[in-house]
Order: sequence, then structure tokens, then C-alpha cells
Amino acid sequence: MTNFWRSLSAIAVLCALAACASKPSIPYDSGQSSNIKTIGLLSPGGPSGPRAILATTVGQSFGLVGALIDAGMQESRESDLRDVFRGQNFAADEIVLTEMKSSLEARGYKVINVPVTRTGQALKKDYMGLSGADAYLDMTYYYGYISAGIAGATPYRPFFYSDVRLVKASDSAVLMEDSIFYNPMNAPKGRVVIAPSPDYAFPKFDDVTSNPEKVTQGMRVAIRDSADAIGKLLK
Amino acid sequence: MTGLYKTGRAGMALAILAAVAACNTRPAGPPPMLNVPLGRACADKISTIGARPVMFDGEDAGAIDLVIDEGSTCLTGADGKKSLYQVVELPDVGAEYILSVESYQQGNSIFAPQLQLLGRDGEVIRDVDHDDMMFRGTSLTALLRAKPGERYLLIRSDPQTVGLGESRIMDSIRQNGSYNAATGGTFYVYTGATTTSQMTYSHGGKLKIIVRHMPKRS
Repeated sequence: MTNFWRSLSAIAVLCALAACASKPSIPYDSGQSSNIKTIGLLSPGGPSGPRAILATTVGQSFGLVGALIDAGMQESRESDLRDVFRGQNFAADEIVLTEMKSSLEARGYKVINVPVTRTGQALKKDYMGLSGADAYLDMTYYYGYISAGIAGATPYRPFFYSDVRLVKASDSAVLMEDSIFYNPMNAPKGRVVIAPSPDYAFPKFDDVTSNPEKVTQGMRVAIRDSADAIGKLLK
Repeated sequence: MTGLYKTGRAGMALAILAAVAACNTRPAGPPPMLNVPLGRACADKISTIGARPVMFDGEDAGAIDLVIDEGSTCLTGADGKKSLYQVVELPDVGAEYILSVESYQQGNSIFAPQLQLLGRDGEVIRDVDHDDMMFRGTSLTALLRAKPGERYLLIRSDPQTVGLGESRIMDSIRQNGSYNAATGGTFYVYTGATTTSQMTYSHGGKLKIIVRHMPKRS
């Protein structure tokens, strides 16, 4: 049943889009927060590996049996995608940290890395005991490749979905909170939506596995554009 | 696939075709207005007379819809370029709140907003440029913390942006139910689609202004 639960977790990624719609975005006010010079970048809460999601399948219409078949196929795709990224020495956490640092520094912030331990893949409940920065940026994310369906004109493209929160060091007041979706299914209302680059589209999953360099580069672009959007939110 | 056939293959095919057709149908709307209509007399100073008020409706939020079109007030900027504008009177709640300005695509046109927050006497407190906005959902949005003292919001078309194009790829999923009268059951099919939305920034368009209280700390 492991495959089945793994399939559900992919569905959870999509469901998260709907759930987040009820959570209000909190915009940053650079004028009011002009004393924020150094941002502590918490080690991000990422998943154990990439997701390879086929968002609509025939199996979805056939209850548990269909879900189990889908789960097996998804497990196989995700294993292949992990191999593709591993072969390209792609480490998501490291790239997220590098791109976030670069994006924040481009907006004039000094950035320090703040290692934290997490339980589960959620933003932290409290920020006590951290030191060295004026504010802390907490972040969780999912990443991988997604296709809307089995029709010919629904290629696999990279996705990167992140939740971010900036809290003030002195009292943990929330200075900014938002969700950023690179290539979402059904653009979630009120959330930052980044349209995917047209350069990284793979008609079939076989095309993903046979183009490791381009697939990895597409994932890097998704992370870079998302990090840039997060930096823009802190302008 | 037996279940699929039993529940009416023709009905299912129609549902899928209908969904695909719906995804490919571009919403109707006016063509982009690339120039302020000729012969329009344009003032060189903003007037807050006739400002549309947005108020908190109950405890949490309030919203108004705006249309900026050929009949909207015209302004000539310091650079001599013309824009169309509308002023919104902001709520006076004595605390900061969240202000959202959303510009919606109509057909292949979308309003190119440029914003200014003004004080009681119309003085400019701060500017929000096109570059400060992002797509949220399907609308180009400015999300701001509005402060006491910011009494008016000026929304004007940005002549620097008008005429520029934007192309956005978007994926979507639809659920289509097909009822089978013989069995009394409904069979659901999920279909995915990828669409590319082309839009051109315009002097005119449709907007929504939303005010929300800051969320309480948990």
C-alpha cells in the first residue's frame, strides 16, 4: 500500500492549492520594516524527492482499483525523475537556498543561513531561540514535473509550489506571508502564480527521462523564477 | 474500461468535448485600447471629486468593481502622455489594512494599472508601478498594506506599459459528471488542458478593489 499513500501525497500537493486559498496573504511593507537589513534564511522544508504528477488519469474514474493502478505508475515515474536529477547532481534544497540568497541579496538584504530541524513539511509554529538576523524567512516547497492529462497537448513541465513567511526577530510578528505557485493546476485565486517557461515542455514522460540536462535546467529555472518572485514580495 | 462503456460512451465523449471547448474559448471582451480617444480634453491635475468609495462591508472585507473606459476621466502626465483614471476613496479605519487592486483580462485585453496612494488633500504619498504587481490567480494584482492617512487610491493607465503583450501558459483540470438514467449513477471523468493566454495591456479594462483587515496573529 506504500504506492497508494505516495499517490495520495501527490494528490495532496494539488489539494494544497485549494486549501491555501482560505489562508490570507500578508503583504510586506518595506517602509515600515526599513530596519530589516539581515534576513536569516531557515533551511527550507522540502520533500524527500521530486513528484511526477499526471494530474488527470483514466484511473481516477475507477475508484480504489484505479487509484492503485495510478499509484504504481506514479511511483515508477517518480523513481525515474529521481534518477534523472541524481544523474545531474541536482540537490533541490541547495539550489533553493542558493537562489533565495541571490534573490534577497539583489534586493539589498544581507542573508545568513540558519539551520533548523523540522517535523513534517510545514512552516514552523514558533521561531524562538533563533539569533543573528533582524528577520527570519521560513519556507516549505514541493517540486517536480506535472502534466494536466493524457491528451497530446498537455506536456510535462516543471512545477515549484512554495509557502513563505517572514517573521520579525524581536517578537515573531509576521511581516509577510504568501504562497507562490510556478505552473499550478487551476491558478489559485489570490496566490502568486508564475506561468511556466515555454522552453521546458516534454510531450510524454519518456521525453522527460531522455532529456536529463534540459529537464534539470527547467527545474532550476522554476526555482530561480520562484525565488525571484519571493524577493519581489520583499521589495 | 467496461465501466466507461456501460455508463454511456457518447455522453462521456460529449462531456470531454464540451470541457475542451470551454477551455479553448477566449472570454469575450473589448479589444485593447491602445490610445486615449482623440479629441479628449485631459486635465493636468488629478481630481478626487467623484471618487468611488470602498468600505468594509461588515467585519472582514469590502470590495468594489471598476471599469475604466473611453468615458473615464483623462489626465495628461508631466511627460505629456495621456492616461485614463479613476479615484477610489479608501476607508478611514485608523489602522493599517490590506488593499488589493486586481486587473482582469477581458478577451485579449488587460488594463495596465499604475497606482498612487494619496493623502486627504490629494498629495502623493507613494507610487506603485507596474513592476510592483504580480499575477495572483488570473488577475494582475497589487497587494499592499494601506495605512491611516492614505485616503485615496488613484488608478491610472500606464502609458509606458500600454501596447505591450503578455503570454501565459496555464494548466487546468475539470471534472465532468455523466448521469446514467438506467443505473441511476453518475460517472465522473477528469480532463486536463493546457491553454496559452495572450493579452495586450490597455488604457481600459475591468478591476476589482478589495479591502481586508489584517489577519489576527495566531
